[in-house]
Amino acid sequence: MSGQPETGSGREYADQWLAVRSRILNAPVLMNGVQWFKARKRVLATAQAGIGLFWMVVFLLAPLLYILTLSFWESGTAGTIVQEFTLENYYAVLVESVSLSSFDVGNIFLLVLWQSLKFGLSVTAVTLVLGYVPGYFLGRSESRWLPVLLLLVVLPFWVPLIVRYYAWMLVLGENGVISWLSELVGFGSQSFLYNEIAVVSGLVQVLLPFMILPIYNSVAKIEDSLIESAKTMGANPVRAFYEVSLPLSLPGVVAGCILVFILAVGSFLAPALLGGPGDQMIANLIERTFLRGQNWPLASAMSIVYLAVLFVMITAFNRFVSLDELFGEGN
Amino acid sequence: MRGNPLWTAIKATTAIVYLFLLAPLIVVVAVSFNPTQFATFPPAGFSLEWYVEFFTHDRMLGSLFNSFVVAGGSAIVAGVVGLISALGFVRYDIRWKNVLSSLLFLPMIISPVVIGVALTMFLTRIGMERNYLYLIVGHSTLVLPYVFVTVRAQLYRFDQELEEAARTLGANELETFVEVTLPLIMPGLGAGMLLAFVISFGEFTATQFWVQPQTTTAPIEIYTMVRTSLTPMINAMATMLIVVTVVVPLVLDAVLGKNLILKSA
Repeated sequence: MSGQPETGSGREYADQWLAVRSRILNAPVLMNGVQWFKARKRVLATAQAGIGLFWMVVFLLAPLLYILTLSFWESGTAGTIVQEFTLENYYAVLVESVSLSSFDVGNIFLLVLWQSLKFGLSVTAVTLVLGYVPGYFLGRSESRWLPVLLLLVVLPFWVPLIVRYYAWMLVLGENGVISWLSELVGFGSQSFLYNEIAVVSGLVQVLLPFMILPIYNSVAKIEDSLIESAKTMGANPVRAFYEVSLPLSLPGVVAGCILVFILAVGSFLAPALLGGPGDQMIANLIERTFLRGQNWPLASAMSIVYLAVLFVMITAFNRFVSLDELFGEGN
Repeated sequence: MRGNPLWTAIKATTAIVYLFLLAPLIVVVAVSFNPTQFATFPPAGFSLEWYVEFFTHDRMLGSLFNSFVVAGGSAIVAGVVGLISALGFVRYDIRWKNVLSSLLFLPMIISPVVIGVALTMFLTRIGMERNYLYLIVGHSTLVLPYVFVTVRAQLYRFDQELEEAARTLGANELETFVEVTLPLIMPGLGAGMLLAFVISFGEFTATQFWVQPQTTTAPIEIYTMVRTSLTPMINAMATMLIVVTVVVPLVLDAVLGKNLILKSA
């Protein structure tokens, strides 16, 4: 309505103006109270939602776009940035290390990325094995202690990650609980820290609630009558579980696996505290490149590649469950 | 099914997983009262000396104070922004609703290292000073999704006719919001802000890029201690953090009687 005619006589122009004018003049009259209320509501709601979106655009998207730019810039000596276009950073990340200032971590990126994905898969598998039964139990339990039992799953999530991983160090460490048990059964005291198993077990320990809760949610929704009727039809408990409960619990399983996998792959603290030098993951490499290597463009390129991988994974997962469901309803 | 051996096996497995989940935290608390120089298990006795050391250690106390400031500030900022945008998303069918609300969930999925690094480079670029505000901006971004989700869940359960009734009876918009809407969504907002506080309070990974010596938070201090000097004071400090993040919300929960913690899950 505000578009001006590209060609045309004064007559057309005048017509258009009249149309606009009549629309403006008539609008409040044509709109009844409900319509006016709705239009106002739409503007208000958009503005309200816009505040949160604006925050994310300024403090999340803009920084991400900025590092996208940075990842194509050269890094100078002593942590400076040279605003010259280059593909050097991506070459270093994806192909092989070129001499980049003093800090050479480029060519191990793919190795570390692969290791992170492997850790993610192991953690997801172990978490599923350990988390399914408790999730199922909570979902089917009629105990009056259920709120307390659920609280006990949620509470560890509130404790700072650093404390939880430190606690796991106390369990696995030289003078720790496992070492004490190992001494009791005659294997002598020893440390179980700084290896792959320590990292995976620590991540499992920390991420278990993310598996248990979605499974609980799915199982709790299954109606008793479904399982009962399976039994009435002659299925034994195992068969009834296999035919009814298991398929109906799958949405929770899928949601739990996706959450645990994504969170495990992005983990920084578990490898930093529990792993040895060879167990570092993608987050550790980015931190090292940024803080110790002082190579911001290279760290940016790594972050961008990690985000690309994450984006591909999420798009693939999206076929099973949308982000909104994952974090919104199910949680 | 209940009472049969299979159900018993399920119960037993659940108990073992609970032990796995909770035992480490109990170990930290137990070891913090250990009098010896090295954190050994089982504890060799009972002493409060590491707590005395902790409460007379200026740097530790300072970092705890900083954590309270940052977490409090972030909970308030995220609370306000999260509440307003949740209202917008629920009240009206905005176009591209799903895509846009996904944007608000992003900080939950992207590794905090990337958010930390990207925001540092960006804020350095625009020349922001590294003070409390810097940390609050960063933490608010990280915790905003949690407030958004909990408030939104509460709004879905909310009967909008109650607002219309208030309007019909002559309340103006502000009165309606303060006297009808806010009390009804308070449990969701409270749960979300509590969660925002707790997550901000314990955040380490992104924070390590954002702190200055004067604004160092408690998790950063613990990490430094774990990496450099394994003093038993860590156990006392870790126990204090468990107290702040678990006991305080539980007490709040019991006093307010709103089941805030379970709502946040």
